[in-house]
Amino acid sequence: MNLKDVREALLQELGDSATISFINTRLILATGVDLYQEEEPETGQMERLLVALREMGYSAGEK
Amino acid sequence: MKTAYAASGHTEIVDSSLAVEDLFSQLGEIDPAAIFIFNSIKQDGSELAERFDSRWPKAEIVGCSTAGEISDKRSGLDGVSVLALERTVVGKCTAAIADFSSGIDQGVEEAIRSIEATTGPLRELDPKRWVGIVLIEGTHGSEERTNQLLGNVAPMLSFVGGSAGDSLAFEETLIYQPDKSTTRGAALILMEMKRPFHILKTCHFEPTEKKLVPNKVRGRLVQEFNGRPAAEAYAEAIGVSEKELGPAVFFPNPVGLMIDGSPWLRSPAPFGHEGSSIAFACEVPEGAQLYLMRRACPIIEDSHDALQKALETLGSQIQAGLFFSCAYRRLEMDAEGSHEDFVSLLDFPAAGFHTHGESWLGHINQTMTSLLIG
Repeated sequence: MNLKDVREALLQELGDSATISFINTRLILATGVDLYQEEEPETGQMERLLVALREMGYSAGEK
Repeated sequence: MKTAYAASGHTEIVDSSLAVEDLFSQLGEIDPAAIFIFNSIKQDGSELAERFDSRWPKAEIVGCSTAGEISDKRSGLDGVSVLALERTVVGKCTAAIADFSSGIDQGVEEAIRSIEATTGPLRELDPKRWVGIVLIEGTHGSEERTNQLLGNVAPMLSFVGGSAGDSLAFEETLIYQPDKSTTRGAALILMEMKRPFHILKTCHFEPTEKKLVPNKVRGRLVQEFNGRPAAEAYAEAIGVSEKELGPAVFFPNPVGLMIDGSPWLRSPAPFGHEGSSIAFACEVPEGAQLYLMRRACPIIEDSHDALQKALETLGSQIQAGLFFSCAYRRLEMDAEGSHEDFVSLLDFPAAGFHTHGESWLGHINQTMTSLLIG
């Protein structure tokens, strides 16, 4: 799973990009990962991101 | 007849019973839904809350100790600032203390359950109509987890606020309601707004081109930046020797994340130079793209511009404001003698305090957060 997959899955769950931007701020502050950053996060960072999303109640494409 | 939306008060009378009488007379005949009290550690916060509760028993009341009190009347260090929001502004309103004595998670969960008994599930509330205020104890590093838990319960709902202070002693802070107080906890208050509102977050820093990426972090302690000992890399980025690292170097040189063009600051703790590491006043996750920041303009200029932008966003006069402004900003304003200039920007009922950190979507440093009501 890469950031594009996470963004697309989150867009399906949230419905609009403005909402994603708000959630993205929370994610950057908590995990240091920006959903729109150019470089793919390292494995540990991606795991932190997915855990943070799960704790917020979003599956973000995870089965 | 002009509709009353809010009333504010400020006093420097230290005797709490006399202070309350002074504040009651400033607030006048009001019908508040919510009252916010911010007091110096020289004052007895619990007594203040109980006396306000006797006078206005139907209002929700929360408060905390400070590192300086802010109001539209004056700013000070030994007094009390109060803002009362009228029922013309706030509809449903409920508050709770999150007691961290059995852990932050349990404390926040119990407080949320208590609030949801009045509001229903927080996740289902309209974030354009509902807003929360959070006051967190400011000496035990509880802020990151508290903000995270609030975000997990209701990601789209804003809780804005700050960490309580103790006149820069950094020993113990107090959070209170009329019937409960704690040095290990947070006060949450959730309000259904009848007027438009805007959350302001501003600071007077801008990014330099120098990036400091934390590679090794333990809590708030950064051990490595850019793969090198943190103190060495940070000192080199600023252009000073490691020996010079201390409050005078740290205050003007925070680091920060850039999110949507806006800086979100992370500041070294005043005496955060610990061996080859640097302790920060909030957590910085490993891999975060941090920039060394520099002062962009005076605090007053930035605050003025931020309030003007808020005015445009609200599309109406600001009728009331709650302000949470970092204690570092207070020290800078002390040095510049600019507190009265700040007060002169507030041409509406306002109260707030100088904090041990600010809250909105996370824990922030060297920033001012605010709830502005139109």
